[in-house]
This record gives sequence, C-alpha cells and structure tokens, in this order.
Amino acid sequence: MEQTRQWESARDEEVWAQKWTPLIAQIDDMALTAPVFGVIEQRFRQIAARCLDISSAAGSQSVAISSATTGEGKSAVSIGIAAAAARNLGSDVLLLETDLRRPTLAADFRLDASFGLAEYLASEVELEPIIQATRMQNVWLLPAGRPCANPGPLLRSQKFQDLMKTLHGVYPTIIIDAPPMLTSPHAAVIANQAESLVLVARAGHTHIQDAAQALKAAGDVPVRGVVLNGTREWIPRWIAGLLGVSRFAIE
Amino acid sequence: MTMKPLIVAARYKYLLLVPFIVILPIAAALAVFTQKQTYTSLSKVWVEQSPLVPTLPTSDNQYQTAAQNRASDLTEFLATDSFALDVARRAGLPTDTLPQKSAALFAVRNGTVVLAEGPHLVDISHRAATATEAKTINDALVAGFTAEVKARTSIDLQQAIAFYTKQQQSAQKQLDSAQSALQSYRASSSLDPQLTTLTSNVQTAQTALNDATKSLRDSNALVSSPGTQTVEVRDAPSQPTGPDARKKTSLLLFPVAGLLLAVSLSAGLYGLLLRTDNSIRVAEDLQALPGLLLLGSVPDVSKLKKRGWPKHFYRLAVTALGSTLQR
Repeated sequence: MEQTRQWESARDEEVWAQKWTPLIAQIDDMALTAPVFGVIEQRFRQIAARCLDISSAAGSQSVAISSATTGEGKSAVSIGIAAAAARNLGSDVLLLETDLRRPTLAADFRLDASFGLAEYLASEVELEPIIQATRMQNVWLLPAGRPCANPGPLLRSQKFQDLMKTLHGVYPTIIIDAPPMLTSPHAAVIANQAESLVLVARAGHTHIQDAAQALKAAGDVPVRGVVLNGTREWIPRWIAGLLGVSRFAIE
Repeated sequence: MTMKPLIVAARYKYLLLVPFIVILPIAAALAVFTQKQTYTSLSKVWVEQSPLVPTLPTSDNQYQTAAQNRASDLTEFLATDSFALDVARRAGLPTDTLPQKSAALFAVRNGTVVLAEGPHLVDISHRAATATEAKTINDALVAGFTAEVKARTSIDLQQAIAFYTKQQQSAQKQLDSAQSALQSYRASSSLDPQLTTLTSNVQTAQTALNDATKSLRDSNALVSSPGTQTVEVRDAPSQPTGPDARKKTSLLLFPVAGLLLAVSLSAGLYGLLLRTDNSIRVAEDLQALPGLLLLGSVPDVSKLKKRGWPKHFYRLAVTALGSTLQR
C-alpha cells in the first residue's frame, strides 16, 4: 500500500514535471509551484494575445519590451510573452536581447553567452551560430553576447537595421528585450526597429511620471500597452471583502 | 472608490507603526522613571470660631464653619512670603540667600494641602521627597499656624476689652446722668407722671452698664486664662511610615501623551506618503496615463509563494526544476 502511494506520488511528479518544466526552468525567478505557475502562464497567454496579432495573415511582427527603469522585470516578461506566443501561435518566436550593457537572457536559458548580437554587429561572428534554440518549443534566442560598454555605435549602425530586416524574413514573431527607456539612450533606437512597444511597469516600483516619460521617449513607436509586473493583493482579502471591493481592484 | 489610501496604508503599515513602536516604550519608561517617590505627613487641628466674643465685629465668614474659615486663613498665610519663610525657618531650612529663600518657599508651599474635614477639624498635610522632610515641614506648618491663630485671637480679645471698656464708660455716664435727673426731679415735685419715665431711664442705663461690665469681665477672664484657646492640635504631624501610592493619573500621563504623539506622527507620515507615493500598483493607477491599455498583470511570485501553497507543490516544482537542469 505504502509502495503504491509512493509510486503514484512519483508518477504525479513526473506528470507535473513534464507539463511545467519548460516554463519553470526558463523564466527568471519563477521556480514556482505548479498551481502558481498555471496562473502565470495563463496571464502571459492573455498578454501575448493582446500584444500580438494571432491571425495567420499577420506576417512577421515584432514587439519591443521595455520599461522605464531597470529592475522592473522586462526580461522575465519578454521570456513569458515569447513562451506564451510560441504556444498561442504555434510558430517560431525569436527572442532578441538588445540590452548589450547588461545581458541576462543567455544565463537565464543556461546557454552560451560568449557570442551574440554585439559580436555579430561588430562583425566578429556570423548570424546563424549565435541564434540558439532554447528548451522551450519554438522559442529561439539571439543573446546580447558579452557585455558591451558602448553599444551606441553598434545599435545605430546600418548592420542592425539590416539584421532586423533579415530576422523579419525568417521569424514570424520577434520579441525584442530592449533596455530601459529612461536609463539607456539607445532604447528609442531599438524601439523604432520594432512595430510596437510594450512597457513593463513593476507594481509599487514604477512611478507614474517615469512611465509617462518612458512613453514620451518612445516617440512615434505605437505603444500596445502596459504589463503590470509583480502585482499582489495590496489590501488583505478580508478587508476587500468587507468593503465590497473586487479582487481586481486590489491586485 | 479609489483604493489608493487603503493600498498606501497596507503597503506602509510597518512604517506607519514605527512611531508607536518607538514612542510608546519611551513614554512608558518616562512614566515609570520620572515618577518620584513621595512621603506625606498628616496632622489634624481643632479650631473654634473667632472671635470668642460673639458681639464683636469680625472678618470671618459667618456662613462658613470654623474649620472652613481657619483653612482659608492658612491658605492665605501660605501665600505670604513672611509666613512661608517663618515656617521654613521653623523647619530649619536655610533662608539666608535669595536662591535659598526661593527653594525654601517652594519646599513649604509645594506639597502642602489644607482641608476642612468637619465644623472644627482642619487637616494639614505636607508631601515631600523624604519622610523626615515631610514631617519636619508639617511640624513647622502646624506650629506656625497655631501661633498665628493664637496671636490673632489675642488681638481680638484686646480689641474686645477696649470695646467693652468704652461701652461700660458710656453706660456709666448715662446711668449717672439718669440718676442725677431723677434725684433733681424728686426734690422739686412730689408726684408726677414724668417720674415713671425717669425711673425707667435709670433702670435701662443700669442694665446697659451691667451688660458691658459683664462682657468686659468675660474678655478679661479669657485673656488672663491660659487654657482658653481657639486652636488646638489634636493629632500632631505624623511620621510617614512608607512612600505614597503612585497616582494613576500621573502614571498614565506620559503614555497617553505618547499615544497622541505617535498617532499624530503616524497620521502625518501617512499623509506625506499618500501625497508623495505615486507608484503604479493597480490598474486604476494607469488612468493617469490616458490612452494606455493594460495588457495584463503578472502576479508577484514571491508573494504567492508566501501565501502558503501546500508543501507538496514546492517539492514538485523543485523536482521539476532539478530534472530540467540535468538535461
């Protein structure tokens, strides 16, 4: 009896692992419990559906994910949207890391970070070897490469614009993990290479004024909207119940 | 209904509690350590209405009891520097220099309580930092008070004697005059209706003279009798056997003041936070950015974890993560 129970438990774990491993393994700070992660995945699927055109005639589309300042979770949100988009659309999604000063995605995906966008723009490597498959189905990563102190000339170069055209020809969906709008002078340049911009705001961290300035800095790039990251129930649920306030008003 | 006030209160709840956490223990410590130990010496003095001669004009309030009048007297005496310094000297307090005088006056006046307990009994108590000081000053107070009352009684009696002496002399003159008039009339006429009137005048004058003489004799008797007193110490100032019980009101003063201060500071801090905190927390906050859509929200994972999912799921997640890393 005890042995049967252990076996069932082991099989449960296996089932859970197969189901949730891809996302649990990849998304930054999301080594979570399965039920919690179910909520996260559902949210990202909704976000991806709202910021990407899911019609088959949409063609190649690119979305830049940025934030006002650092530490607002734009890389994690980029991964989440890429993963959800790959599931929603069922086609290849390229995750392009353009924060050349502080690259993180290769490490998040446990992939080789020695060559990437910076090296390609500096003509040190070819494009094909640096685009790496991730363990997430249909999700590809073009990492930033080694940290670059002065990425301005690289990102403003014609080669970057040519690269974007090339990538649009290959990948139906490109998610660009862009640097913060207010702390990086090149963020607007990168955003201009995308068809639209999604701003990430960390709940309780991002100020209204910063978000407004970030939107202003984005210039003419159409802004799809805001992803509010790190939300929580700011008011205890029982108080919200007493006040007759919806859960969504407090989260 | 805007959620911001509630959200700010919930988010900064620990910060808003800081004034209470800091101030209330300090206030409680102050309440305990600033509360000085005191000792009280109590005495009871029996007093009579003054003056003893009822017909003499008096400054006393005739509608108050003797105890009330004398208690008022002592309170007034204490308000004078001469009496308070006299008490201080009796208690052996130094009064040579100006600071010493001020200290002595403060020591005598501060802590002295005078109460009328009944028609004749006056309670005099003195509270001081030590039992000896309390008793010494109370002794001096009672001695000074009784001396003052006796001196005033003596003055009253002297005034009474002078008053009745004058009355006696005046009555004697009237009697002499009436008798003289009566004798003259009797010599001149045998029987007349006026005789009755004159005789009556003589009798009236004689009565007034007798009354004045009696009052004068009474007054003189009071002055000459050492046992006659309008003030008498029934219970001499007691030696305090232990410190006074601490007053609840003074014990509560600091905590209540601390509580009010903490509430004020916390409310001020809350107002400041409410005014300055403009971070985005809920979808409603994005209304400040017109035209911007909320695509969705991602819950704070760490907070969800803390909410207490079953341990089983943690184990599953960790296993899942481990198996992924091994691939």
